[in-house]
Amino acid sequence: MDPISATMRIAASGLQAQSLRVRMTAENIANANSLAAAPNADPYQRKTIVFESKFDRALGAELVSIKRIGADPSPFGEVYNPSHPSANADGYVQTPNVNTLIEMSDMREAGRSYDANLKVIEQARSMAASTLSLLDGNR
Amino acid sequence: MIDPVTNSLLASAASSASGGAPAFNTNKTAAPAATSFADALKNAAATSVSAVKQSEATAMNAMHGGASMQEVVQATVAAELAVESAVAVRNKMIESYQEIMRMPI
Repeated sequence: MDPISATMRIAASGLQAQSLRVRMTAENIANANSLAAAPNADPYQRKTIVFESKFDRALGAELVSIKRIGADPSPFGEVYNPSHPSANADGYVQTPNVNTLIEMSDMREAGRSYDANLKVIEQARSMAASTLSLLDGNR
Repeated sequence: MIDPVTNSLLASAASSASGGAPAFNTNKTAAPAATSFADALKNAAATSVSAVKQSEATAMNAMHGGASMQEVVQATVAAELAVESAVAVRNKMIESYQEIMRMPI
């Protein structure tokens, strides 16, 4: 496959990976206040996303793909709220291990990476267009 | 016998058949060009048609929620590239033909 088309395929895989990352961040932020449903149940556990490079044989290039979507094993928070239906015997309710600040910076990073991949597509496209422009017109 | 000018045209048509920039030419893409210009042009046309079909299928799939936005854009840009290179080679070829027809005998 010619390098310019391959470039676009590779960058498109980057776009997909980063958009999935933003989706994970959205889930984490949306569930930042999802407490446990019952006294001994776990609250929402932060999700993490792991990327890996995958060799595409037809393309002859390394694409990025999602290795797995994991759960953050860090401990849950606790808040004293005896009136909550999910409070334990001591009156504490477990809170999700989501830090909105971290999610925000992760989201920004995904956005920047997405932009970078878009720029690659833009560049490849303009290179192809300028090469083809050699053929038209009487020059 | 093929003159050098025609030969370079064949080479560019062959590389456009692989959906890419005519200036970039490898031995692999030059191999089918050795047959005839008509074949090379046919190849280029077939490749662009399949690229356009692929992009339409992806767009339709996206309407059903099966393909992502990125896939649609990638397929559309790939189709655009293939069609543009085929059209550029075809235009150049017709131009050369007209140039020859205008030649005083």
